[in-house]
Amino acid sequence: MKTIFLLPFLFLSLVISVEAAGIGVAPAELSFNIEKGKSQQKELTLYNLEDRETEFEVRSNADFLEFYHNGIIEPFGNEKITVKANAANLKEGNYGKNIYIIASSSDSGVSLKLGAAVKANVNVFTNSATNFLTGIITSASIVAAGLLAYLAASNPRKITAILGKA
Amino acid sequence: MDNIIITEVLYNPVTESGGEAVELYNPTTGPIDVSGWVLATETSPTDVTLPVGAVISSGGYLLVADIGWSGSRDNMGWPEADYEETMTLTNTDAGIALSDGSSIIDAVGWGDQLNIGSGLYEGNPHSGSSEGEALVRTKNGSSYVDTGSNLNDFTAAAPDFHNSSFGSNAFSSTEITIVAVVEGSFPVINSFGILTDDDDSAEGNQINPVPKRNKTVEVESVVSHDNGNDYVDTVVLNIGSSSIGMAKQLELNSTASLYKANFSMGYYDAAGNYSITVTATDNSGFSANASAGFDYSSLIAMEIDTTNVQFSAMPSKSSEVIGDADESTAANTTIANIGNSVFDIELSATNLSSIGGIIDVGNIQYTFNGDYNNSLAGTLSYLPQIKQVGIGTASKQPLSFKLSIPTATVPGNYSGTITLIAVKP
Repeated sequence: MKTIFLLPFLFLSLVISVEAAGIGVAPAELSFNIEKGKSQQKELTLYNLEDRETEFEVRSNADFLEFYHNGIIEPFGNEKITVKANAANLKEGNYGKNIYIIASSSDSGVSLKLGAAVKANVNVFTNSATNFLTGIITSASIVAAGLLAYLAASNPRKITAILGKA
Repeated sequence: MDNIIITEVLYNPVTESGGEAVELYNPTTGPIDVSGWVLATETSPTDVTLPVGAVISSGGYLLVADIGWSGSRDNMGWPEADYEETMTLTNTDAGIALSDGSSIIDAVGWGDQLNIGSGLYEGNPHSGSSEGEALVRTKNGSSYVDTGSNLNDFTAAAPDFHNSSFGSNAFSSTEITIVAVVEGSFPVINSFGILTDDDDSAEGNQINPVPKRNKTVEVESVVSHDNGNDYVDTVVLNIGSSSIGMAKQLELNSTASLYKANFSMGYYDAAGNYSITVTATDNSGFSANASAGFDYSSLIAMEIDTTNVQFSAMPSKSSEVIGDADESTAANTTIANIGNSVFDIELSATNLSSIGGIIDVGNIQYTFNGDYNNSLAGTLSYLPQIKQVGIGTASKQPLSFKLSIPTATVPGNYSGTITLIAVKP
């Protein structure tokens, strides 16, 4: 406490950057339309508007989104980010999530970090043709199982003969 | 006179082959199409047939001559014929008649009327001319005389021929041929496309804006014209209300050329589908159009005029960094929207730390409008919080911070991070 009184001024971060910083991402929204169990890839373009090489973090709170990128962009450069939406474990429906792209900061003191959020809209659908075939096979299996059960109950010798031929 | 008249006939030239000629004149006030009209002679009722498209303008001449006139006429100072065809004019007791195919328009005869074919003279034939002389229609002032009698209307004199180039604008059969070609031809746009494409994996042309800059878009078109490349007058690119001339880059062959042009899209231009059109126009005013389209992407982009904020205060006091809407003042924080998407701001921050201690992030307040007690203000937290600022395209927003130093804070240099994320509403 004594020290505080002897040094009455508290200085925090005396460095002021006069250079502007910025970030840009195009497009600002991504739309995926994926058949259940499959995946789809799209691209984002990320712009580094700083006059220095900058590292970027790409993350999301959705585990079905994956990202592929270098992570470091030269001054005023840009790079492609590949976004993969994987519907392997998703049910049919619409999913809306944000992809966060945030620049790192190497400044000392109280630094400002910039980022941009890209909306990712994922529509997962089920192939109707596959559904139809699956339905037919399932229905046929149920009918066959029921028939066998009936025959087994009503005439055990006959069902033994059928199974024997098969 | 309400129709074409014969004004001069040279039937007895010094050089017989290629030396005969007939001069026609239009005394009316309008052009007369003499296509297919014939000159009948003693030799043939269709000795000469005028070419398709032949027109004699008002006050104009048409000089018709025997084949070879260009090199064999008696006097090379005489004009070139507008049309040459084999012509046989008898030197004695003969005549020539101009017919439109259904009736005789005019006729000139010379010699004994009894020996001249029917219709090959008018009234009384002229008595005739000497070798090298022509029968020349006389004039009264500036007008030709036409009394209906060759004897009265013509005189034997030295030839004084005129062709279509004399005075008015009658034209030759060669010129007529060119006009006919132009009428049947139009410019054709063989291809028109946008070369710029920022996403090869997407269908069509996807063009991404560039933050704070114009995006250059390159287009090309192949335009052809059956009459030749020079017949294409202009190739213009139209986008919205703007028109840009496309420059010829390369002649692919004699009738097709490659044209290119660039245009700019602003970073603030709205995302969406855009249509562009090319219009090719030829020298005759005929034109052709083609269209193409591209998808201009959305862009979320944010700029800030400083990457650090500076607080300076004693314990139990506060320090404020006041924002403004001026990007040139780094000490006053400014956020700028340099994309084409409106965005809100998501804020979060870390505690400020130094060797001597920590200042909790909850001691930092912020505001987007200078007032720390309204909906556009709040207290920073490590948990993200979104403020619905709605920063519009190409607009700027001030951002102010105020740090309250707890009383027990140990003096020193404290560091931390404030994260600002642009989020589409």
